[in-house]
Amino acid sequence: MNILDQEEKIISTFRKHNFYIILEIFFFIILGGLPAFLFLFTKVIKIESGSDILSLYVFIYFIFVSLLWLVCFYSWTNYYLDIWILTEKRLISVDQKGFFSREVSSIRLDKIQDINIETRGLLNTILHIGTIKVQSAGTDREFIMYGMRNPTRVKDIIFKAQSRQIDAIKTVRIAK
Amino acid sequence: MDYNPAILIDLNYSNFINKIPISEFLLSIPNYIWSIIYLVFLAIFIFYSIVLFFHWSSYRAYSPLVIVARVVYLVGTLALLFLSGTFLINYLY
Repeated sequence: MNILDQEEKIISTFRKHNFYIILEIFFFIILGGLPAFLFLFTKVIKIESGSDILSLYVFIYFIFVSLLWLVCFYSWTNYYLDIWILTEKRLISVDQKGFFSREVSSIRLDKIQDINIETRGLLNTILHIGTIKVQSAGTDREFIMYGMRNPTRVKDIIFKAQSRQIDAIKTVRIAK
Repeated sequence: MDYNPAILIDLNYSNFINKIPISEFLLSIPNYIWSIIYLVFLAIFIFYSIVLFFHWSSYRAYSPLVIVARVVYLVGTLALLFLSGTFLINYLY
């Protein structure tokens, strides 16, 4: 499925800040490494080496790690496929919801009325992470992306593209 | 509160896995059940891997990062499946 029209050019794409996905992956690494750490470096889990039960525990452990591995890549895929695509005509929001569903919506650039940015907290301020809301004229619809990387820059890019689009429409009207 | 040394002994968590009968329970499960568990796990894993690869081939995923992710995922998955399979065979035979 291609959501772009023919000859529709992409100006820019925007994603969430990778800080959140790095944090998630770090959590999975800790979770996966914890049983191995407890077994190798502490006395909390003590299993006789060479015994049948050791092989069974290691098998279960690798099943557990494999599932974590899958969930980790699933999270990354969800992060990676959540995207805003800015073209010369419109802003497209693709919201991946799990493995099997996604929501694609778009706003024409000349219909964008306002863009709000909200940054909360010390860490978000330092890392330039914020929530961005794009409101369209006429309808109650708005695009929201939480944890957007550098929202001020995103806002500038969208407004510049909008100005170009409006200028292009005016030029066409005058030419007619 | 009265001092009760028995509570202190109970709070010693070292080697706790041997104090609960989980090992006996796991060993009592017949071998064919473990084989079935592994095959079901394998089927689920392969199915979701195909779905992941399908998503990574979509129009939104056209960057070198996705190619790297594919390689890392494939290598890691094969290693993990090989290791889990090896230890299961080691346990069964």
